[in-house]
Amino acid sequence: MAVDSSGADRRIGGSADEPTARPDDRPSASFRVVGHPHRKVDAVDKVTGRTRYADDIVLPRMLYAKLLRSTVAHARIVGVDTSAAEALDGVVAVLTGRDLPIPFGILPVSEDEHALCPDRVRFIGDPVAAVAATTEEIARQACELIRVEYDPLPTIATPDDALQTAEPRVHDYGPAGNLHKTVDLEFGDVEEAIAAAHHVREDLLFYGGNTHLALEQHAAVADWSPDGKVTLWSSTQTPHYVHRAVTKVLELPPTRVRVIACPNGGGFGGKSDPFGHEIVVAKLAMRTGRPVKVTLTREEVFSCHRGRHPTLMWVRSGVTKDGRITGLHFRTLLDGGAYGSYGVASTYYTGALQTVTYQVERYRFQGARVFTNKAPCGPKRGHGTPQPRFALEVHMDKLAEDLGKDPADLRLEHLVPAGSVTANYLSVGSMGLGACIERVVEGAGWRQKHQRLPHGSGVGLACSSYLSGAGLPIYWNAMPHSGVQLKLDRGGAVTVFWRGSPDSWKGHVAFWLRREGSRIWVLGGNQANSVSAKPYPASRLLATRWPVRG
Amino acid sequence: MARRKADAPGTVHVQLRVNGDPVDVAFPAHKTLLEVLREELGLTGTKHGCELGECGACTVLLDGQPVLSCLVLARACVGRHIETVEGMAEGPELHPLQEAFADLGAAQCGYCTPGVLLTARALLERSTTPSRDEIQEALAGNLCRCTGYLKIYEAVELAAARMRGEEAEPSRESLYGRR
Repeated sequence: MAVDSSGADRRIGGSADEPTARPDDRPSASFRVVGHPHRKVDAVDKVTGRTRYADDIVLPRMLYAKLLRSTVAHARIVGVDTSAAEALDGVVAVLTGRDLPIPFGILPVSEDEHALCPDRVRFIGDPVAAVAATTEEIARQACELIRVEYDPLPTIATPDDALQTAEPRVHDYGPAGNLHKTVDLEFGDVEEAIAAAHHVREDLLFYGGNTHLALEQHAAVADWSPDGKVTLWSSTQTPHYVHRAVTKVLELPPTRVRVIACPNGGGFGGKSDPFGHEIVVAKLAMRTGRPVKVTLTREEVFSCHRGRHPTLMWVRSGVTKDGRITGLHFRTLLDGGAYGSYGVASTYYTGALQTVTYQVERYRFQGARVFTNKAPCGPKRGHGTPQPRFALEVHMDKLAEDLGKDPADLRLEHLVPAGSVTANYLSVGSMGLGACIERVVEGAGWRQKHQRLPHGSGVGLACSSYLSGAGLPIYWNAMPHSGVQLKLDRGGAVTVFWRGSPDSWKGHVAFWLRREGSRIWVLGGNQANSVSAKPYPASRLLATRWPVRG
Repeated sequence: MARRKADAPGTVHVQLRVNGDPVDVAFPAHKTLLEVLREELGLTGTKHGCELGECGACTVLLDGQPVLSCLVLARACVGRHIETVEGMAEGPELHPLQEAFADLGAAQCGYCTPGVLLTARALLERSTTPSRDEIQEALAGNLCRCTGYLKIYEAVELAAARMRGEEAEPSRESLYGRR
C-alpha cells in the first residue's frame, strides 16, 4: 500500500472511511442474522417450481390476447379492417388504436407512446391491434385476418439519418428535427484548462447497444370485477408506474386499478417501462368482463426492448505531466429508437459519472438523444453509464500509454478523495476504489503480466462506479419513496421494563424477541423515530403479556 | 352472423406418465410437451424462455434424459417416463440438488432453475463425482442470465458431495464472496 506516499491531498488507504486491513470475515457474535448464511425467503419456492410468474397464472374463463405488430418501420396508418378477425369463431374482442387514444410513457416529459398505435407506426414491432379469444391459437389466427393499410414514410435508420433529416419527424416534440433531447453542462472553463494542459488527448468511441434478454418473456393477466375494479398481474419491475399508466389510459380512478408485480424471471431494466400489452389486457378485461392473459413471444420481447442505447462518444482531456485531468470534455450521441422511454434520464446518465472515480478539475458534458425507427432503448443495468465508462477507461489507458505510465498507477494516483465533491457537484463519501485496484493488481499478477505476455495475449484493467439506492420518484411528490410495514403475529409477547427505578412512572414497552442469559432482546420503537432490536436487563422486566392462545 | 371456424387440428387423447403418475389427457395433436405440461396439466414449474430450443428453461427428463420440452410433441411421449421439477422432491423432503441450490442462492430469479435442476439430476445419476468441467459441459444448454453460473456449479458440487455421504459444507467463498 505504498501508493499514497506523495500526494498530500489524497487519502488512499488512510481515510477513516476505508478499511486499511482486510475486513474481519468472522460472523459477528452479536448478531443472529447479520453475518450468518440464510436461505432466501423464496428459495424453496424457486427450487420446487412453485414460484408463480405472470404466465403461470390461470383464471376461470380466461381469454388469451395477441397483438398484431407493425411490419413496416415508419408509416401512417390509413386504415385497419378487423371485420374478418371479429367474425372468427372464438374471438371475443378486437381492439385498435382508436380504443386507446390516450398516450402514456414512463417519464412525464415524454409521454409519447400508445398502447396500440392510432395513426402512425414508428418501428417494426409497434403494436397496432389486439385480439382476445378463447385460445391463444385462435387469437393468433385472428391477428392474421386483420388488414392494415400503411402509407410508408422515410425510415430514419441511424443517428446520422436522424441528424440529417428534419422532416419527417418521428415525433413532433424535442428541440428540433429528430433530436429528442440535448444537454449541455459546463463546470469550470474546460477550454482554458485544455489550452494550458501538458498533454491533450482526443478519442472517438462507439458502443453498439444490447438488450436485457431476461429468460422470462413479458406476460400480463388482467381481471375485471363487476364492482368496477381491474387487477393486473404483470412481469414488471415498476408496478407503481404501470399503475399510473393504466389508470391514465383507461381513465379509471387509481383506487379501481390494482397492479401486482409478479416475481420476474429476470428483468435487468427491461421490465421497467409500462408497456402497451399491459394496458391492452386491462382494456380487454374491461370490455369482455373476463380475465385476459397475454404472453409475449421471444420476438415480441425484442420489440419491447428498452435496451442499452447505442452511443457514439467523443472525449477530449487535458492532463498534467503526471496524468491528472485538469479539463475533460465529453460528448455523447444516443440512438434512442422510436420512443422516449427513460431516454431523457439515460442522456443525463451518459454524462453524470465521469468525475467520480478519477479527479477531474473542470468538466463539460454535451449529450444528445435522437429518435430513429427502431425498437426503443431505455434502462439496462447501470442505466446509461456503462457506455461512457467504456470510453473513459479506454481513454485512460491511452493517456497512460501517451505518458509512459502504468495504467493501474495512473488510476491509483488520481483517485477522487473520500469526503470530496466532484466538479459536477456529486458528493463522494467513502472511497474504496484504491484498495480494490490494489487487490486486483495483486491478485491478477498485473505487475508480472502487463505488457509482458506473448503477442496476442494481454491483461487489462478497468474501473466502474454507479450510484444506487432509492432516488427520487419520477412523479414528484412529498411521500416517502419506500416504506416498511411491520406486523407481528400472536407468537410474540408485549414486555414492560422499568426505567430509572422500579417504581418510577417511566418505562419501556416493546415486543419480546428472545432471552439470552440475563438479557432480554426486544423489538421496540420511538428512539429517534426508528425501530430497533435491543437487549434489556431481565432484572428490569416488570411484566410480559403473552397472547391468549387456542 | 355466421362465424367462421378457426382452423383446429385434431385432438388426441392419450395416457402419459408424469412424475410416476398415470395421467389421461386430451390435447390438440400439435401441442408440445411444454404446452401440455403447463396448460393441460397445470405443471407450471416447467418454464418457457424462447420456445425455439435455445435456452433450456423448458428442460424435463424423458426416460431419465434431459430434453427440451418445447421441441418435443406431447403425443410422442406416450409410454415414456416424464419427470418435471414438481416431481423432484423425495416425498416430503427436497432432493439434495434442491437443498444445495437453496442453500447457496443458486436460484436467483428462479426461471432457469427447474431446467438446470433436472439437467444436473441426470448428470448426477450417471456420475457421482463429476468434475467442474463435466458439470459445465452438462449444463451448457441451460442459459442463466442472473448468476454468472458460478453458484450453480458450486451447488451441483455440494449436492454431489452430500449424495456421496460426505459431510460437505458450502465453501466460505460461496457464502461470503471471500476465502
